[in-house]
Amino acid sequence: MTAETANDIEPPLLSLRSVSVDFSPGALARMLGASLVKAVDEVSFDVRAGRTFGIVGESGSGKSTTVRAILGLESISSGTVRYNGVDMSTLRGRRRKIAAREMQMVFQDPSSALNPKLRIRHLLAERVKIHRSGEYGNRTTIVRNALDDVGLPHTHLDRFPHQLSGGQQQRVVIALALISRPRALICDEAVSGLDVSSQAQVLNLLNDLRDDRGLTIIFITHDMGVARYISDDIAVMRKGVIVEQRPAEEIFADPRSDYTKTLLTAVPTLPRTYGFTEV
Amino acid sequence: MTTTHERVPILSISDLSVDYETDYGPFSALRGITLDVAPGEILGLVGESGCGKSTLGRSLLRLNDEASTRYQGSIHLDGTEVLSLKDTSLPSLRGSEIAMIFQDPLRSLNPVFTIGTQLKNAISLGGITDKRKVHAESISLLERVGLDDPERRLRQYPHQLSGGQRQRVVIAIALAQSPKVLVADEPTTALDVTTQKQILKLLRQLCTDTGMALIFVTHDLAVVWQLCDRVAVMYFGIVIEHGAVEDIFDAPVHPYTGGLLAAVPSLETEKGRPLATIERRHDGGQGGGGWDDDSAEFDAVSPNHFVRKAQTSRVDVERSSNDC
Ligand SMILES: Nc1ncnc2c1ncn2[C@@H]1O[C@H](COP(=O)(O)OP(=O)(O)OP(=O)(O)O)[C@@H](O)[C@H]1O
Ligand SMILES: Nc1ncnc2c1ncn2[C@@H]1O[C@H](COP(=O)(O)OP(=O)(O)OP(=O)(O)O)[C@@H](O)[C@H]1O
Ligand SMILES: [Mg+2]
Ligand SMILES: [Mg+2]
Repeated sequence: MTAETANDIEPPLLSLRSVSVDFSPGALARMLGASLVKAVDEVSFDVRAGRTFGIVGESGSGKSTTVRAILGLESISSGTVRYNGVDMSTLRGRRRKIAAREMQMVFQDPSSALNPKLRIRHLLAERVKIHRSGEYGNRTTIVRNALDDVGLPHTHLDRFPHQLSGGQQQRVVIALALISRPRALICDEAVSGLDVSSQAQVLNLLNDLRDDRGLTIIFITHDMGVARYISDDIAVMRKGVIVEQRPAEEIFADPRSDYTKTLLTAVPTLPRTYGFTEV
Repeated sequence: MTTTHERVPILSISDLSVDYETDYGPFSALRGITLDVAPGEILGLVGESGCGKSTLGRSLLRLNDEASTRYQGSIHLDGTEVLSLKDTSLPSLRGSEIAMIFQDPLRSLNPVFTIGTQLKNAISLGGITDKRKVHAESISLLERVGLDDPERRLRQYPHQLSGGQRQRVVIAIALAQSPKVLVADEPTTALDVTTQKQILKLLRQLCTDTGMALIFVTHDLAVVWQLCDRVAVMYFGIVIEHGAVEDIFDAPVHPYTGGLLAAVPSLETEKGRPLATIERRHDGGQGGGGWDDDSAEFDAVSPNHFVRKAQTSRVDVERSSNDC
């Protein structure tokens, strides 16, 4: 495993050190005695290129805020985020733009990520124009391939976002992110609204991109089965802090923190296992 | 669980078809849906993304865009024919008779009003007028859906909450009016499993205690197994199998149902091996799945288990993208 040794020397693609994000209450709330909310509290982790880093944890524990902070969508109160060894807060102008293109995010609310006035065809073609302008002549092929990848029929190209189902919108958002050919993809509950089969298709696609193109993935999910399947390493968050952070297999085989144990016992299960052949 | 002969449905859907008008002609989103729900009962609705679950849910409240939606069939809710109601009667239907938790929580919350304003408004519509009682009720509802620091949450705006917190506020708003029927469209997709467990327990308890009927749309079959009394499996706009959860999970008959169950990733799924997907025909975007006949005829596998007639061969269910 030469890649493994190389990785040990290479800096991680993404590196967070003691990152905190505070939300200050509004003036009125302050008068009523509200204090600062520490949504993310001294979070540190590394994600090496070509690896998948899963984040699970309590609702409201700071998962979305953490990844938004990586992208500069929330301002960091203390700590540093390094991308490719460079402190993100020092990036300006063109270099910042490049980093923004290289890191794509699939947001938790798909509808807010899609311009309601544009047809799907237009939305996707626009993305080719912005991020792969050299290939704009091939946009039809690129757009169609992107839809195939996420399992949407081409007939949906002429629809407006509101004419799609929730899971179809979610897949358009994933297609948009992938058209940009990111180095790192940040998925916030990106498959949570998909049936098992569509979900499997997207997860298989992400695994292929990771293996073939070295895509680096941060994957937030509430589905413990999905987290275990897709992730190399997992962080478990609660109340703004990471309570446990280890390789995926280990967390599931031998959870250490009480919170992780509670989570694992709450996972809903089927009455038995089902095989494809017996039906 | 109620037995078949004493069930008196509060909601009966019969032979419901829904078409959406698009620039490219009508799109058939639902065909020949016949289902019912009794008070206190929980009906799970599952099926592939795009198969019509949300369309069905919205239809029950007539919430699809009226200008571009065509309904056929009947939706009978507590003595009222929903499809023939005048527009002016719709507001009195929504909320206290039937409420819906939307798949996209942002859509149901107004960004310019605080959580408190929106929740208290729903509580007043439910009939409580005394200001102090409304406040107490709003705190109690937020606590029941597991939100920390409810006093502070009441003063916050939707964008100040996490995805799962917003989802729980929407649940609280829906429950505020004590509806007789609640349609919950993927209400726990952003909730960690412990919070989800708490919400499912709350919903189950409300159904048992108040007789609320619940239609629960989800893609999580383990949740169906845990929560629901009955389940309807949808495929390209039709119901292909429905009945008691025990019966269907014990012995699924339709290959699509079996495929869905087999494709669920578990904590034992082998890593590094591609996940199984279900191979299916594309509907060419026309909707209705190209079903030849509109008949909603079912074979009774048992008194509590029904599977659609003679359509089984039309779905190619196999473990694709796998090495077995
Ligand atoms: N703009 C904001 N102003 C004030 N508080 C905020 C703001 N955004 C988030 N918060 C708070 O920060 C905490 C973390 O929120 P975040 O969205 O990161 O949680 P999460 O882990 O993604 O949860 P979920 O799984 O429910 O999506 C929450 O308690 C939330 O209320
Ligand atoms: N306003 C509309 N106009 C045209 N077609 C629509 C409209 N709304 C939904 N559709 C189509 O109708 C079908 C059913 O959509 P619906 O939202 O009911 O699916 P769903 O089962 O809820 O899927 P998901 O699990 O992805 O949310 C989809 O193929 C969708 O593209
Ligand atoms: Mg979140
Ligand atoms: Mg839906």
